[in-house]
Amino acid sequence: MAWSNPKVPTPFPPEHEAVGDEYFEDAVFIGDSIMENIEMLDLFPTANFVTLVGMSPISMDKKLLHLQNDSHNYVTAYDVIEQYPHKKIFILLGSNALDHKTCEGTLNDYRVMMDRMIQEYPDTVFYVLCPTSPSRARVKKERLDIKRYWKFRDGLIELAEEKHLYFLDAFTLLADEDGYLSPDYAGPDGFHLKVEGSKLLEELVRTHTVEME
Amino acid sequence: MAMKKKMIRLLCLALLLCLLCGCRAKEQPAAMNKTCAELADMAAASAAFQELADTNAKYLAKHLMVDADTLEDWCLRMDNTRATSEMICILKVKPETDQKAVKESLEDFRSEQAAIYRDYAPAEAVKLEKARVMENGAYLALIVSPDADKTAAALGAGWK
Repeated sequence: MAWSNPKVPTPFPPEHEAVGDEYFEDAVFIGDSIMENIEMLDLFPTANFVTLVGMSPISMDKKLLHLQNDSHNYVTAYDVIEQYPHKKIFILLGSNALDHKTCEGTLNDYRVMMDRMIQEYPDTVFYVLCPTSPSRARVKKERLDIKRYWKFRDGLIELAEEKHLYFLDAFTLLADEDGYLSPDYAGPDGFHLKVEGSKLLEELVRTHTVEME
Repeated sequence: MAMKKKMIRLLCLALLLCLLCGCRAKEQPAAMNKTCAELADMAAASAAFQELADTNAKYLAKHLMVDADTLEDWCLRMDNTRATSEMICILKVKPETDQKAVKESLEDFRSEQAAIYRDYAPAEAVKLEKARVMENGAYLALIVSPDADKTAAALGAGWK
């Protein structure tokens, strides 16, 4: 089980006033293109980011990234995390896998990834940001199974409960009343986020943190 | 005789002026009286790009491995949803900077992105494969465009 604050039970951290940038000085944000968008917008200027377009839980160990200030050495995402202070880790992964993999398969990959990180970083607090669903238009165009995304959210809550992770419900935050990514926040492809969507994610994170003491 | 000397002096002066202009033209190609942002605007107007947003120096350093302090001027615009690989990067390198190294960093970024998008969105990888790092005096450009030929032409002469 991951480290968690005994006064703040997992998986749902209570809402509070937004914390400042100092909270994220020892934080690492891990994710795919959605997280890279947050990095590009510099919404957490003091945090470090380990992002890669198309990344999923299983590819954390397969896709290669370069180390900071070293464009010639390529390593896995796990190795990149090592180079940053990481008392708090925020993860936003799963969407890319759900596009072509079952919910169960994606959850299993997520579990394997979490087990590895919990073992390597026992004193780190983990926040899992639930991936958003695709928009209604994208589901129709790509003939996606929307229920897979809804089931994944439920499964991720169970995993967070079991592993003592803090669950941040980006899914519900950005969904319309039918559980699709709201057109207010969906980019042109119905999957990536408009700036407004990313800023809501920022607010969600800043208002649902836990103290490390 | 005095008239002849005067003519020779005038001719020499004219020759000297021509030489000076020639040297200046070599140092500053015609398109280069523009800022990087102006060149980026010219590129952006040449094709139907996705919405591109200005991207900060931190991203330039971390992902493109280029330190903004080594540049006299720069402009980096990207599709910051990351749904597409489209981008416009125009850099004006400081005279003391190793321009070849900066050019290599841009080339590394291009090939790295092509590898990333090949699995994720193959049509985007095609755009990256068509993109080339171009050079014009102290300027470098990496533009991933929906129409690479049109965009290259829009930048004007002197780029190679």
